[in-house]
Amino acid sequence: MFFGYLPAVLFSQNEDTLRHIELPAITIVDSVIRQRPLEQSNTTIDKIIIEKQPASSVGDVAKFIPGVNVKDYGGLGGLKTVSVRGLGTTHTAIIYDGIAVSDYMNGQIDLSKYSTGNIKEVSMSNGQDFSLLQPAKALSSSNIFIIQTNNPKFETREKVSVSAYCSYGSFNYFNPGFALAWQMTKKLITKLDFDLINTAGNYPYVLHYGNNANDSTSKETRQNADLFSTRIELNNYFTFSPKTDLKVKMYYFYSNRGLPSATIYYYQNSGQRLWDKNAFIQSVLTHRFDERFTYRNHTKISTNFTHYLDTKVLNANGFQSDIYQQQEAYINNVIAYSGKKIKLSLTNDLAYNTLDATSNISTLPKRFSSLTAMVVDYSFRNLTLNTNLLHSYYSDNTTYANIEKYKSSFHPFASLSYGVKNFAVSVFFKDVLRNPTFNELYYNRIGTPNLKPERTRQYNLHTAYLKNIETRQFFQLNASLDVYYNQVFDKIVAMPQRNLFIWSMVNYGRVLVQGIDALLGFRTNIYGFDVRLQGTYSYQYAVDDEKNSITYQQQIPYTPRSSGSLFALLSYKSYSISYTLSFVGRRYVFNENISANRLNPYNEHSISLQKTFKEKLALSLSVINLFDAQYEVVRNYPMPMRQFRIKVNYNFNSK
Amino acid sequence: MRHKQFMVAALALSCITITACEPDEPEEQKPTAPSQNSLYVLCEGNWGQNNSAIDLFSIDNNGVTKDFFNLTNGFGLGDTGNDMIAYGSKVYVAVKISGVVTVFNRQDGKQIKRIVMRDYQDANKMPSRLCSSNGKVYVACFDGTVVEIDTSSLNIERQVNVGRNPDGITLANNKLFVSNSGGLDVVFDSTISVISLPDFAVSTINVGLNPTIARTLPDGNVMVMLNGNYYDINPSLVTIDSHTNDIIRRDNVGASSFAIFGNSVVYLYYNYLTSSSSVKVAPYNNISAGSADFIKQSAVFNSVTTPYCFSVNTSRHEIYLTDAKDYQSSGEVLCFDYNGNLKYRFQTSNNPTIVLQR
Repeated sequence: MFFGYLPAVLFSQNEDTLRHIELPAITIVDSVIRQRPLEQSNTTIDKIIIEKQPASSVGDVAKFIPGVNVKDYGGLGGLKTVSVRGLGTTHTAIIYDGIAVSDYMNGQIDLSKYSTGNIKEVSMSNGQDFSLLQPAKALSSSNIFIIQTNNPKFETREKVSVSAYCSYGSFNYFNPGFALAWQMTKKLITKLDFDLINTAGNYPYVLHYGNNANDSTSKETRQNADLFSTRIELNNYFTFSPKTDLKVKMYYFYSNRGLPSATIYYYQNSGQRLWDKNAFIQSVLTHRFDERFTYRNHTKISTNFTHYLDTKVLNANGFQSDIYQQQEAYINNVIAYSGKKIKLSLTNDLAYNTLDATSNISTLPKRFSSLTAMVVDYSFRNLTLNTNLLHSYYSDNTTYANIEKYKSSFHPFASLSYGVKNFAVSVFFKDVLRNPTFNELYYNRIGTPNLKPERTRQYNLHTAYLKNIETRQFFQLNASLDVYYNQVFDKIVAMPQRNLFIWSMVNYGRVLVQGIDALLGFRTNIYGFDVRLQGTYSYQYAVDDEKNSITYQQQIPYTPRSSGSLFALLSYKSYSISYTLSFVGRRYVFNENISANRLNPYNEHSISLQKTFKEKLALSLSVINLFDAQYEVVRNYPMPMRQFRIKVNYNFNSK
Repeated sequence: MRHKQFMVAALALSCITITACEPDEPEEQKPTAPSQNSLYVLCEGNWGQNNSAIDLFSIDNNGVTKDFFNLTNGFGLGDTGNDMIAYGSKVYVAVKISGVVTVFNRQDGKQIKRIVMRDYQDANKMPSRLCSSNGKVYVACFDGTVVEIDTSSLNIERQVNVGRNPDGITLANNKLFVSNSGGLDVVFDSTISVISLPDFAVSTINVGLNPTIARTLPDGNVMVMLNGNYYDINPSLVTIDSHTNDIIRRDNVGASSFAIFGNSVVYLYYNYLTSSSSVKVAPYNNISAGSADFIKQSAVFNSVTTPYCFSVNTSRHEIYLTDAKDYQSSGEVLCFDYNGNLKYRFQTSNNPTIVLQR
């Protein structure tokens, strides 16, 4: 559905039109051999890696993307969010099948909710994507993280496609799911997706009573980390004519989970639970008037219910129960012109969001926002200039009297790229805002209604190399190296105000990030062996850039200087073995880089063996965290140690 | 040949990811036993971080051993050390989120016992404030109880119910005055529970919204800080007659922390109009009459980012003012003489609160 960016990875003989071919969703194939390096700063994790690596959520897969930090509270039910290149989580837009997943309450999108069961591809673009038919939302964030689900595939005369899987593993992990697609008529394909995860989450860990090597330890079991979640999706793909198609998705997600507390010394007894219910309907309508003009509409209505309960609060009631209800109505219209050299598009998003959280936000905020962008893309020989101007407007309707009624601003993006056969180089500049969330503005006692948006400025140099050798054997080498410079201004942080007891949100401080992202990939098909290697390395010098701060020039919290990943796959006939490594360097939990605030580096190795039977049935055995590493991504939230998984996968197509 | 180059490149790639390790910072050495001229500094740390610490400052050689308790014992203090008192040869620390009262030897810092504070459902009682009397230590717990601990057996003896979320306790006239803050509710409590020590009988007096720190005055009366509602009811200090339990004075001074030395009260004053804080000193029985700046040198006062808590050392005639900085970084302790002249200052772990001579 989000085919905007796909053409860039599609192989086309006609090099001039490589970048912006629009294809109807149904015909897109899963695996393609890219012929030219990407001109934009993008990393795509394809279906092969998603299927062959053993972890189960999109949050885990994100670790293979350079520049991405995954913040993980541990276990399957633990919140997993991404932050990219030293910018906070809220600066990355999460796009699910073409339309942004929004959270106006706190801006945190939990990627643990997206199991890999129906995922075809995960990709991340720094800055933004170069495609024409995008919602303005995809142009308004510092980075976009795109999740794309499987499209049903039918050979001639096939009518039904079934794909089912079931996983079982350590700590009572149970994950069945299926996708059932049915070609009803030539014009309509319907697909039902179902996924369920259940786990006790009671994994063992070692609690260290101090930061020193000789400090005492105890063996513990994680408490209150159980998870039950289920996702049901009904996708309808309409092809009215070769010119017009429509995709409608109905989505429902439910989860009920324990929230384990931090591993407090001498007392661990969390009584916190969280229930999530999320339902939405979204549609993408595309109409091609002729070879040059295309219209697309994105529409979404969404409702999000969260119930937080803590049964161990020493208040008068003896418990705390908070309910948050968010609603969204969203519509985007985009029209694109695709000429030989010049391409233009005009895209506009209108959104209306409300939050009902009476126990913590008394003002019942409602926000109307509009994003409009004019994109100009001009190609001349091997050079391409892609630029846009974005207008952002929002106004909040609250019970507050003395706050600014609306905010309106313009933001530029410009990119210049140069590509020849095996080599591409590009630069981009982007200056955007991240609007304050409802919590930051209106949370009782803490929120500050007059906050300014957080501002980011990005400069990026991207180089990429791709070489295929197709003789009797196939070889591919691809490499990319990005050097970037990011700045964050008017950071929104909680600070004590008025007196010691009142913390409130303020715009304070600046962050400077200078970094390198590198990726090296290698594929070959030789003597019946299929070999694939992909390694990434990221360096982030991400520091407090506020001259008056007592931690000026110290690394910002939870951001490693060095991190990286490795994926290796060896297949022979029906057998395959994969190995993954994720490496994260030292981090600090606060701005002050002292040993008391240190989190140690870790390596997590995983291995997976697979065997397919008659191309229909696949069996895999995995060991996650093979060497039983004890590590924390968030301090006092230990990650599971060694885990075993067994998975059966069955695919079946019929008339 | 070409294929070989690819292989080399792929191999080089795997090396990058595996060898990118960083050297560890040096581990701290086990400290030697502290001298008499040392100060224990309780640092709250940060909620959920297990980084509450007791630092040791040697007055003689002007050196700080951060997290001395951990280095001495091989385990950390826990989460949110809220109060610390000395009684006899022992020091008692109420570690609120960890749900323990940690007892350690005052002389060498070695732990003697970790007293687990749980209710009948095995939930954390959240020990928050301490005081002592006649061979007993009394622990005000956030679950609305006061627990008596025998200082020789270190066993829990009696327990009595008070109001919501007590956040201050002091002994006066053989009675315990316990401030019921109600801090975990939207509407705060506004009472003091008075516990008569012989029979543990409780009576309640109304003082005003959100009472917290309670201290006994030299004249035997009790001074309590009211935090107000952090919104439109300002903080204040009230003085309670410890015999009649009547309120005898109310001083609307916007205090957020205070301590008593000699016949004076030193307090943090917050001015809502100018959003500025100051450290004031006044006769405790006539605050509004004689308020003056406590810190003599304005440069010293200006060097304090976030004045946080006071401690008084009557044997050395010293007053310690702690600076919480941005609450997430190393704090600082400033030591003054009774006249408000700075004697020395030193850096500590996060959020220092109470300073106690070894």
